[in-house]
Amino acid sequence: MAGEPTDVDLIREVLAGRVERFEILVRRYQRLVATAALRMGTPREEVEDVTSEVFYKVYRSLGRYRPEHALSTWLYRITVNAALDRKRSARHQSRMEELSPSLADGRPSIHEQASDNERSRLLQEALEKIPDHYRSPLVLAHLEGMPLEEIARVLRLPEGTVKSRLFRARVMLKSIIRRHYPALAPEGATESAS
Amino acid sequence: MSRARKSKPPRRAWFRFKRRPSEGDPGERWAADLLRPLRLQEAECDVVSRVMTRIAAVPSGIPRLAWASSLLLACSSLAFLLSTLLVLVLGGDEGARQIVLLGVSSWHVLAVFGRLLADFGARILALVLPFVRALWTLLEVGAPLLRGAGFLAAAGGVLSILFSAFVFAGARKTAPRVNFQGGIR
Repeated sequence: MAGEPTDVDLIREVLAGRVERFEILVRRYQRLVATAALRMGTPREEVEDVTSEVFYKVYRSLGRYRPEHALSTWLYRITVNAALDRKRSARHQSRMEELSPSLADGRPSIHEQASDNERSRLLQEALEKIPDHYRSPLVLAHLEGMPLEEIARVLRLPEGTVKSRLFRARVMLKSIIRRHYPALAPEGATESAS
Repeated sequence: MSRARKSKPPRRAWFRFKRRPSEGDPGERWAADLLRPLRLQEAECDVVSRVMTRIAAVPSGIPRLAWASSLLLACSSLAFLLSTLLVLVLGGDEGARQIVLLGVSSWHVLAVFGRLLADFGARILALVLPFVRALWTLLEVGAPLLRGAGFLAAAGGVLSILFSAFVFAGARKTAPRVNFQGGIR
């Protein structure tokens, strides 16, 4: 829509004292932040807490936002850090006991959905076994679909480091899947060096 | 597994140091296929009211006001302290006079002690300097020899590093592969 204010405009307005305009930003990005937190391994029941924490942090440090990069990049960075912090402080064994039914459309039967839920739970468990600094690039690349340079910006790492961590993360994931969850290995996919 | 190594022409030594093609990476497509169920996950939540309530609960002016008032308080405390000291010294207060006397005598003690220390240092230097001069002369005479020995040692070090790297590159090929968890595959 042409009349919608841009992120930068909204941020300027909030900084100028119109705090209520921050609501539009929250509404615009809450789904992105919540989904990213969930994919980073935050249990579903804690996603709302992490999301509101992220937006509160964003509000408090809004003056430090640099408009050269997209707001989403900055939000991803804060979300990744918040999810990791939460995980570290809680030290919970991330067991996503039930994945509530807000999955994407296209689930024809309840059995298929249950099987997908179980698969997701096991995959999440497998991802949990990968150290944080390897898992973050993996999640951003293969779940969020980010290009390498954006991952580098989000994680504040050189692109080469992201690339090597991504490579290591995939090797680890393969090893974990082989060892602990052989049933999860994709059937049709061929393994290829990238 | 037979290697077709013998049929290939012998590789040059520096090829050993080249990074080998990635082994064990299942590839992007494999990861994408594996993680597809997680990619389909989405979280829906509405945190707007929660965030806005939290923001509203902390008035933005308070930190600035607190900072300004604490700075003002610190400055006025300093001014009060300085003016009190000034009044004491100018008014000929006994306590202040004693403190000034104590300061002056401490300064004298420090000065005497410093002079003693300087004398002691000068005597030591007078004893040590001839030896230092003799050592310097010896060094000047023996400098070419020392330079030669240093060069030889450096060359030996470089050779040793090259040899170790060569041996390591050879050993790397035949070493068992170790996975990241410490097991041997």
